[in-house]
Amino acid sequence: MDTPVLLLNSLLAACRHNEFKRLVGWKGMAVCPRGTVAWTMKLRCRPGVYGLLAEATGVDELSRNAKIGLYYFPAEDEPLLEHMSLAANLAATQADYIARVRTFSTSLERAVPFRIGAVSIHLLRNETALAIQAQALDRKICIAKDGVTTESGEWVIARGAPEEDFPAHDITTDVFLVIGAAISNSLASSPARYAREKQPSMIPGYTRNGERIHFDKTNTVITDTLVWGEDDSARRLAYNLLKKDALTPDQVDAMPQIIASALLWKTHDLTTLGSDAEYAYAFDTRPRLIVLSGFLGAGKTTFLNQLLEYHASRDEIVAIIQNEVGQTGVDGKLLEGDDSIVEIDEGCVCCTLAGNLSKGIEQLKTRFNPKVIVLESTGLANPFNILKELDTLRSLARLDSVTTLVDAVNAQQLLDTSDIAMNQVKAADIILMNKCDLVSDQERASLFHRLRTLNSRAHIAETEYAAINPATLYDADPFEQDAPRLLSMSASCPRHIHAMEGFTSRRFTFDAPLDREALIRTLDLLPSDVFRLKGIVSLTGHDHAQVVQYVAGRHELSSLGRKFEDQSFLVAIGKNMNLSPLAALQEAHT
Amino acid sequence: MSTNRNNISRRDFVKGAATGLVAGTFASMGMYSYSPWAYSRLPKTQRNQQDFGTCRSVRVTNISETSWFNNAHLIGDIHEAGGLLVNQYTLNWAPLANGKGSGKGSYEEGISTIKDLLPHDLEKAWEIQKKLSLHPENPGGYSCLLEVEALDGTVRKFLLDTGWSYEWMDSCFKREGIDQMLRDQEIEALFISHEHWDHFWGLPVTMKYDNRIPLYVHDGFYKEGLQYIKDSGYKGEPVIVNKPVTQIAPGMALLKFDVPIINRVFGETSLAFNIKDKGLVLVSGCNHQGILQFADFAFTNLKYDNDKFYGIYGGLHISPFEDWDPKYDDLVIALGQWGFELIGCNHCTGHLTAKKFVEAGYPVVRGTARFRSASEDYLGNGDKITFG
Repeated sequence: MDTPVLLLNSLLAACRHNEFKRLVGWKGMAVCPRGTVAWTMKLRCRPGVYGLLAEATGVDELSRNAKIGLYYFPAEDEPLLEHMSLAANLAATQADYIARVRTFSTSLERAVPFRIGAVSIHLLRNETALAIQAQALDRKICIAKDGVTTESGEWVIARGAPEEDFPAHDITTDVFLVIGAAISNSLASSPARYAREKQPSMIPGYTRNGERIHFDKTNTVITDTLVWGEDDSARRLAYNLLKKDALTPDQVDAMPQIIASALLWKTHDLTTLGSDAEYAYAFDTRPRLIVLSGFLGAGKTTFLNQLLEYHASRDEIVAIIQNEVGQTGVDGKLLEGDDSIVEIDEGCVCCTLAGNLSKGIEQLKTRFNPKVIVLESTGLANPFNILKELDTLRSLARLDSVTTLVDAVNAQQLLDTSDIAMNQVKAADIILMNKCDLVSDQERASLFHRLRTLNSRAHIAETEYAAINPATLYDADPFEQDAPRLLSMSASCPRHIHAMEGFTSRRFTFDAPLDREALIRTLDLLPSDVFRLKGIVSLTGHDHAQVVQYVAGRHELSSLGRKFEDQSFLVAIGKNMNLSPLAALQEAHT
Repeated sequence: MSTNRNNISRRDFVKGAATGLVAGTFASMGMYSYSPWAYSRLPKTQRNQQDFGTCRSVRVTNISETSWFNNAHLIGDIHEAGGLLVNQYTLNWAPLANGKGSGKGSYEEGISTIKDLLPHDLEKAWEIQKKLSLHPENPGGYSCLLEVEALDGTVRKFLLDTGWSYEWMDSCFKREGIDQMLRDQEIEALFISHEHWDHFWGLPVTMKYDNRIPLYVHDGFYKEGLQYIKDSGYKGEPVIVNKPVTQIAPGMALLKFDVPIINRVFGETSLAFNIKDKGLVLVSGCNHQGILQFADFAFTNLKYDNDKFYGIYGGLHISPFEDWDPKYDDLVIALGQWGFELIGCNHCTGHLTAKKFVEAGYPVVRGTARFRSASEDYLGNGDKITFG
């Protein structure tokens, strides 16, 4: 195997544990395409992005080794930039800076100013010991002997001042400790040896003509070495690298504090670590609970399907607790993997929560260990009613957020007439303004403004077809959630249940396949007080059943992709509905 | 002229540079950090493009892409056994179950219940295992037939993977005529993409018809996997793939990726084809290495016509690297970047993902959703795709 890949694989393997990710503040990693072998990586402790670049591989009598260049690309607004070179600043002000960071190994000339140090990996030939070494300057300094001025004579860098001067070793150490923790975890053993070496190094400088000069000031190169393996092999490998003996784990007092207190001495055994109160935060195994609310037809099912696929592709389960007003849980049939759905029978979640929900969640956890539980409140539910109950679920699940979908087309009108719709917006931590493709820019802006006025704290995202990467909405790490405690939100709002708002639902069934034209004619005849109509029907001349979706005058038929074994049905929901056209259609097909 | 005090921020200064205003300034005073010295250590990007010949076309027949039929049962079983890191041989799934329940399986005990029936009486073996295993109706499998047409028009056949359920795979083999091809020894080799249950455990089904077929496995296979090859009735010596690139035929190469995969599996091998005048075609089982790694490795290490990526087939698993920027849709963007002309995806590519490809305007070949494949958005069971 490629030696650089060893290092990568230990990171990948350790990151299989969510606990590990939380412990080290892992934010992810990506491959750099089309260039020299390289990866980018992000950690919670710093706002920028690390780059790892395979620079050299070698073999000697004792071991195989590889050198990996370490880069740090600060965030565009990170104060650190003011202490980095002009070239670094120039790169960071380009519009495509972050996109270029993703592919930094394709244009290394641009990346050079961001190089902070190197990590090397050494594997004993008989594979009984492994070492990593990080090498970086204590501070990366380069002096501009003649300074830099603008054409109008203002000093950007004073004469003899450093063009760059930043703590390269500290930035290197952050990533080195994560790599170390990953190796301990993959090898299931803690390091057997550690050493730090310091060597003086000249501080370089340049004249304005580009001549290199040395100052009498010196800098320090710091090299940290960690070795894993059987004692004798580890000692031999360490000696080979250092030409002297290294410290053993019991010599903690002789180690720098940051090393002595590092996680890498403990991550080989996450079980033991989990019983340590100091790290309890990382071992929270409760599933995240998302309350999904939104008015009828706003796109909740579409959004849910995406959430399901996002997690399924990561081998994770999403459990959905939903119920519908009406006698048929339609969405249960529309969602993939419909046995992940536990429907709560008696009417609306918001009205009959007590006791049922925690039982539902218990069952789900036992059966599937879901990563996320979505409580899909019916479009007619008031989320404030749910929030009060959620507090009792804390031991079972971690409330992530209330996510509300809003249909941009009819939201203004709904907000004018429905307190429940209003409350769904007010209670939200995340609002998805959906169907933005169907409204003008002006309508969009005015709705955005209205939503913002109703709810000043929610994150509002504009979507079409409810398409959004869930990772942009839900941070995998609860400790970064900055949503204020929902439960402190006003529960004194007047709370409506849907019966009070005059909503009713009615279900129609059809024994025979429907004629497509007749169905569309019927849908066109429906009065505007039908808010929402959903169902699955068989049509004559079509192999596959059709999913019927109707919201406020717009209808859409799409293939279910298979035959529908049950009886065709449509459920209509609205206020004071005149449903005679549907009744006639039912009459004609029984 | 001011004294030696910095009175303008670097950021403001270089923002001017971005618009070209101070580019001249840089040039006139030597950008210190741009000095030649800074570049002395840079590794040079080198494409080491191995010439592996060309072929005229490759036709892929999807024998089965439905690895299992119920995701919740599968994940539920894995969870019950202890999660994604548990050794797959302890999960207690057919055909290697011992009846002791979740997480308490062992390869030796499982295989001992059916070993004497392999590979000649698979029906009986599967019946026995159904009684011992969890969710015995869930297994399906992944397998495809590759027909490689050489420049002179001769066609050579290969199998990628051999599925999971004996019952399901045997019926799929019969449906596509694979059983007869194997009997006639028309198929030149079987490549196992990786050691996972749904790609590898159906091995006795191939052995039933041809127990000497050349067999290629990644060198990360565990001892249970190597033993299962013997226990399935294999009479040959498996080729342990230990090089990054192995040429199989003109215009056909096997690529090896060293990547840790869930449930204690290590490594995946995928295939690459160089189609004359068209470009490169990539074929994978699950693509656990991620499309970025796969494409990138091929780009750096292979020589192919027009220097163009032409087609891709198989499961497009999400990258193991988990991106650090959620706004970046790895799969969708990567496919776009490489400019494939023909995309045939299925298996672990969800159909919403396939839909996303279509929405992004990518040339995704649709399927017919037959034989329990779930969606027409991708190439389902029994569907074919020809590159070239």
